[in-house]
Amino acid sequence: MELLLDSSIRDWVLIPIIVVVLLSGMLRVMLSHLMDPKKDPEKDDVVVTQAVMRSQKLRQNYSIVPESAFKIRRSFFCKPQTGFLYKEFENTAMANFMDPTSQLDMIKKNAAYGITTMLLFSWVSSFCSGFILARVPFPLTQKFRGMTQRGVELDALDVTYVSSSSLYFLALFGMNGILSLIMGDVLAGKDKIQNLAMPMMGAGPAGKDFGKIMTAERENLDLVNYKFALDGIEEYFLKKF
Amino acid sequence: MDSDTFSNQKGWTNKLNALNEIRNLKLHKPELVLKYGATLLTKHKWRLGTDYWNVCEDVFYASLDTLSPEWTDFTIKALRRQFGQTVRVMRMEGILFEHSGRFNEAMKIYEEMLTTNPLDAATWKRKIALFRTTGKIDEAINTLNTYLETFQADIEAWEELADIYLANQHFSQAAYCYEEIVLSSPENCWVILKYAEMLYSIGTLEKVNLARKYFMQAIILNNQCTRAMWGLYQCCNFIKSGKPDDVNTKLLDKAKALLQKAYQGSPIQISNLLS
Repeated sequence: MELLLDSSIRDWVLIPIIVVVLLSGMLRVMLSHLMDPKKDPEKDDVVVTQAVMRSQKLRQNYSIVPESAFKIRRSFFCKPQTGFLYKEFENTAMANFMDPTSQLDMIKKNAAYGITTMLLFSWVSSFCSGFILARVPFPLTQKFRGMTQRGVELDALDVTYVSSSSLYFLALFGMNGILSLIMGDVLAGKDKIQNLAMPMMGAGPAGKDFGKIMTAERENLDLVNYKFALDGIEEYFLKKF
Repeated sequence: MDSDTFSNQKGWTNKLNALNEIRNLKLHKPELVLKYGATLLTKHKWRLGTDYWNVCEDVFYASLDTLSPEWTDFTIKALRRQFGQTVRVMRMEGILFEHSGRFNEAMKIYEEMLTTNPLDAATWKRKIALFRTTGKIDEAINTLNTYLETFQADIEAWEELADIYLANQHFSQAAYCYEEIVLSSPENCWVILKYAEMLYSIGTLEKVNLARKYFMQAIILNNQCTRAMWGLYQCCNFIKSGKPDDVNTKLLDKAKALLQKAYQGSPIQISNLLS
């Protein structure tokens, strides 16, 4: 069955949908670029992570350094009251978890994406539903009917014809590459554009409980039973060489 | 990695990949970067997309290393126009000041950057390096200590601090710093060797005894390491001058034997050196 598509469908439906989707995509990228909060890592966060890393290394390889070197470090970390791992740090774990602003940012991003997508979709379906807009220039199997002919329930219609809501989705999902070409300059130095266009849930900062981490590390370091690895190396050396 | 892996790349994608690889592996190949970068920036500007700016940054640093002021000028202008007062561009401005010997201006930039963003490790390091360049050793040490209070696990910084102390003959402080590096790479022969040399340089009997152990450990890790053999020999000689001790004599003989074996076939008369 061959259909002749009116050229004014092309001019008044096909092109507007693509243009609107493109423009809204650009707007969204711009907005998220502007609203993107500067998320610097907290100073305490860095300090604690680095201290714990250093103490872990000490725990793993302590036997290679002389006893005095080990003890001086252990007392730096674990001396009651004054030791580094006894220090009080503001606990950003609960703060992060409960912090309304950080959650709000995420919700805002997701909501902006969801709402624009929904608005556009309802715009497309209310103004342009039922249109056959285009035809893909290659044959497709029946399986693609759901993809190309959403909103048009005609079994006899060839699968290569594309309905308006389907075109909207195709345009929406196919837009990332084109956007990154157009908006590349705005986003240079940013992460992948896909991340901005489709923020994912759960990508937020993982909360950490400093108190717990530091106590655990302190206990582990206290448990270390120091033994110098190079004790008796003289005999071994004389035997080996 | 072998340097030939990157040279003679044809085609713009290969060149771009080579540049990315060099950047990720933190290799130092300014001539190559400048060669590729210049081609990419002039002939393939439109193909690069956002990578253009990364290439610009690479070429900027490479041009400073190779003294190609026209490229320095070109890239910094492009980046200034594009990004203005961002952290990376500001740091580049600072480095440019350093490059032209205007250290005060550079310091001003770094200090300004650190007040707004105190966790900017790269700028901290520039500031410390600048102190060192201008001969303000005490300031360099103080700044480095402040930096290490926050970034305790930064091995590179500990190494730098050890290096500064060494350059000023503060061997025990240097040894303390170097212990951090020993802790993070206990299997590295060179690290052990350097630590042993620091202990030996402190010069007390206790430390030389320790140094002797570490020299042996270095030889165990790499039995071709002549420098460690000499270290062992020196330590044994030092300890010998104290009270006689059986193990030390054996070790001294062993060190001599190892050295004689190592120098076999070399024109140097080893027996003249071993007294």
